[in-house]
Amino acid sequence: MPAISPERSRWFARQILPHEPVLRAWLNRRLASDLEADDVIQEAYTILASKKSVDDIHNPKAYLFQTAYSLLVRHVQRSQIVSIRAVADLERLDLAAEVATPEQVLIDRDELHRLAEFIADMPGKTQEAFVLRRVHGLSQREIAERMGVSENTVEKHIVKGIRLLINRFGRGGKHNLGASKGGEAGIGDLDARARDKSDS
Amino acid sequence: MPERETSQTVDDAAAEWAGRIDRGPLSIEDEAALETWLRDDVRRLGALARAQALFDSTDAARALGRDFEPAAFKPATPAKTSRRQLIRWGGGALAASVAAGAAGLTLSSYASRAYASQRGEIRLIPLDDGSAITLNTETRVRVRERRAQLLDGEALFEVAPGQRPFVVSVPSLSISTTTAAFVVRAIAGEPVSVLVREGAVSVDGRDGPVRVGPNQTFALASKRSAVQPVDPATLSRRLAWREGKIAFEGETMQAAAREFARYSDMRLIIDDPDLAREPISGLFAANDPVSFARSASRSFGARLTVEGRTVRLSRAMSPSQS
Repeated sequence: MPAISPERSRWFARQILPHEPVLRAWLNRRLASDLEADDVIQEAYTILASKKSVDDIHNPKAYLFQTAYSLLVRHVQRSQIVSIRAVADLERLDLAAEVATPEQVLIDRDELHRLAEFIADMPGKTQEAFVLRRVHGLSQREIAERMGVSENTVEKHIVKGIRLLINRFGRGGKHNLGASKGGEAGIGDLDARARDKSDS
Repeated sequence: MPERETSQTVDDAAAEWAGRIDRGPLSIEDEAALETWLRDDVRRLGALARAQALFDSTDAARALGRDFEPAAFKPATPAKTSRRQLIRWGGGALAASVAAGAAGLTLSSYASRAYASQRGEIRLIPLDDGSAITLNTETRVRVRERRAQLLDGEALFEVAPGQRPFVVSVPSLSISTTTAAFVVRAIAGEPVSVLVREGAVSVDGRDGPVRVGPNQTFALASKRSAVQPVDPATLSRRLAWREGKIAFEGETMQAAAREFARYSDMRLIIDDPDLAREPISGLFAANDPVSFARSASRSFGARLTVEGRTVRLSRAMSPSQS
């Protein structure tokens, strides 16, 4: 079985990953010291990836936060370290109001620029392989022929590219790729946006 | 309890699996190894999902176009880079052929520049003022500072705020804005249309200026041009081309075939008039009319034949009444 279907992967890219920086910031402010935000995020993604269907998730952002939150609660119960802050302000996030809009599912200019810059920053051969794979759409085998190297070598370059991607756009990365303006917004910004909405 | 891996280690291994999966179908041994790996730590599947999703989302890099030059995007100082790049390109072109008239590039950035996308190509053109134009298939534009002429085709304009308004002209219309994201479509045989995703534009045509706001569309009509709201689903459908897709929602098969013709050299011919009028919905890869025809043939019980660069859909031998 392929672990994750292409549809689910696309759903992650569009509906979930854009919210990761906000989720990470939110987690970092409330985590007990023995748990890392990335542990929680990975585990939350496992739950989302194992769901049979995500069609019933109307508000992916809210769902993501709720999932992470329930993991936190479980951890708090297990470790008996009481972290009040974890519990207090989930509601303040105003999750229900944040329904995905069409522009959130589009890669906009800034993100495409960021992607171009990210590729520009890759080391030589990795960059070459990555450009052939992503910009020109060649398969790993075709790239091996084109570059005159083994398929294993191409795979290593692609893996390296993915690693760089994770470090830049996931994990500690402050950037995000693949959608939503305001994906980098902190909670304060969310509140501000909610205010803007009520003004207009 | 065994030592717990760091999330970084999990991510590294996830990257390796994502790279392996991208290579092609997994061998039986690999599949078993992946299954074991996934089972042993609850974070791993999530990490793999993220790695794959991140990698998938870089598919958008296709919009950078086949002549994408990574060096031009070196993060250093963008403004300087673009100037140097301009000179370098100009210089190269000069060496290659003075007669081509490329010399103008090195002398002045005031000259207008022409850009075109080929059939099936999506092309992103970053402009000096921070605005950007994305060309859909077979589109030609001419740009000079904050003035653009859409000669033919369809393009998304993402206009950064600036001192002066940004003006897009098409035959019969001009569209101006201070900042907005909008699509202009000027395709032979179709009325010119403007679709605004963000911000607002002023469309100046025969009937005088009309304001078109976010989630609204303007279509030039012989009697009365009209501004109409678009719902979010329609909006994202009409922008699906940015990801190399075509989306239909109840269009006729005939219209769908016409749309596919814009993106590839394959010709889709629908032999039966009833079939041509059948409505179709779905999201399809723009460069793959054969897959589209195949799923249409299944839905309508039609016969599919492929000869060279022609795909033909016809009614099954015996008229089907299913």
